[in-house]
Amino acid sequence: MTPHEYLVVEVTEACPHACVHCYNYWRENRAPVLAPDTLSRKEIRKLVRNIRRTAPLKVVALSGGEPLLRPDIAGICSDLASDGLDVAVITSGALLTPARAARFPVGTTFEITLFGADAALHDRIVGRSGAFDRVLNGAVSAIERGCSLVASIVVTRLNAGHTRDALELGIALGADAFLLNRMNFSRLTLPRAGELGPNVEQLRDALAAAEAVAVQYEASISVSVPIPACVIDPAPYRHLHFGWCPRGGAQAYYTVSHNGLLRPCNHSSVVLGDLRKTPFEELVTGRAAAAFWAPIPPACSTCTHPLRDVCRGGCPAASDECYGTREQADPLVQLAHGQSAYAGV
Amino acid sequence: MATKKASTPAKGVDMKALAAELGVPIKEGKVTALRDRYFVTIGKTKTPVPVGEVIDPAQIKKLAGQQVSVIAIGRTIVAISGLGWRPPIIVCYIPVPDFVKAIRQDLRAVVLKGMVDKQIITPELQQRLLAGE
Repeated sequence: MTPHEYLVVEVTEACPHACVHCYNYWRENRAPVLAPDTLSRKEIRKLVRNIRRTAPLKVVALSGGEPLLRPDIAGICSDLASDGLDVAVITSGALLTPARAARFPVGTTFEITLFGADAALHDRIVGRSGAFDRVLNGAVSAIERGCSLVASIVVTRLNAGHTRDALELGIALGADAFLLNRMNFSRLTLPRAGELGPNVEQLRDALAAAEAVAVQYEASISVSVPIPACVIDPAPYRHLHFGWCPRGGAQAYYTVSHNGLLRPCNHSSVVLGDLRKTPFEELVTGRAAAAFWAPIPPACSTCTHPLRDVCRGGCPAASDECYGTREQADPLVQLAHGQSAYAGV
Repeated sequence: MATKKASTPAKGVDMKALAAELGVPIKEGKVTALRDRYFVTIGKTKTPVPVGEVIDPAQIKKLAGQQVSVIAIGRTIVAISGLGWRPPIIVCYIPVPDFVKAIRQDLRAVVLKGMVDKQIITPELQQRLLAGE
């Protein structure tokens, strides 16, 4: 048995948007919604059932690409929900019309991304005019259907000053949980880090805005993509939940590619194996998985921050994608101040 | 989805092992409290304790006025004996049921009206939202 309760399934690589911060390693491709090797609805159900034989899955997040591009996405949700799983659909929300929403099981969670309350800014970030209005309509459609709404606020340099607006828009739309995700880097976005990545001051301002919203509205806000403790100490933000990489532990969310290949997480392009051929348990307890999670950046070994044992250099997948090694700390550390403020004390 | 907030038990720190790993001595200090802030005084040096994400305020409150063993490097408090370190809740990217907590309807209504007044949300969407509650 393995302890894993969460799983991400990327049901397609296709996406109608071109978000400036998109980290997906296939973002340059024009992937079809259903490629020849894409898992069918039936295969997804079978694959998840197989995983549940050795893992106590509770939540399956359907992601992409844009999962709502798949015509059978509501059916996939129904299959998983009727198997007793909580299902979350990670989507832009732009394709969720009332008619489509009505096909999803009541209680499905839709996680939509907001960047502020400015339509022009939203459309600029996602690279598609009219997207903002469609996202609002999608969020309302989810609420009308009796589904849960989670607002994911992605903080980039372009919208860091709009964090409060984004959270309040999520509240107005009926969201009952919030993720505050700072932009995470990949080899495709790192060259544009100076233009797109939030600096430390912007991140602090965004966190302060989120802290104020959490207090004022008693909102549950998770700072999900790790912000290494040497970049910003989370201690002052007492009403925010800070997330750290679970590094393959019980709360890891291994990610299934559209074609059944298993990866350590959604941010990584590393393939651990093919779930069509090898059981989940064998892949997550195998050498490739252990090797992926093991490295701790040497610069972090002398860190004295109280969070060092959970931080461990931030997002190892981002380091791997950007530098080709997990021996370096999260790219955010280098971008923030060259090296860890706690290293070498 | 569940609506309860995650609650994790405090975890003790193996002071000897941590001190050995960091190559620093275990010192003796005293915990003091000033309103909602807490300090450890080692010798003549008074250092604030980072209460919040890692250290449970309720726990350190109980230690106020007591002598404790401390691991410190410079002015950074790394660990305090008798004080559980709250392991942070680990979550990234996907919504976890433990974090779902509905916003009070009266607060939400005010925000929604504000968004309509600013013409960010249309009256039509507002009506649909109100009907969907």
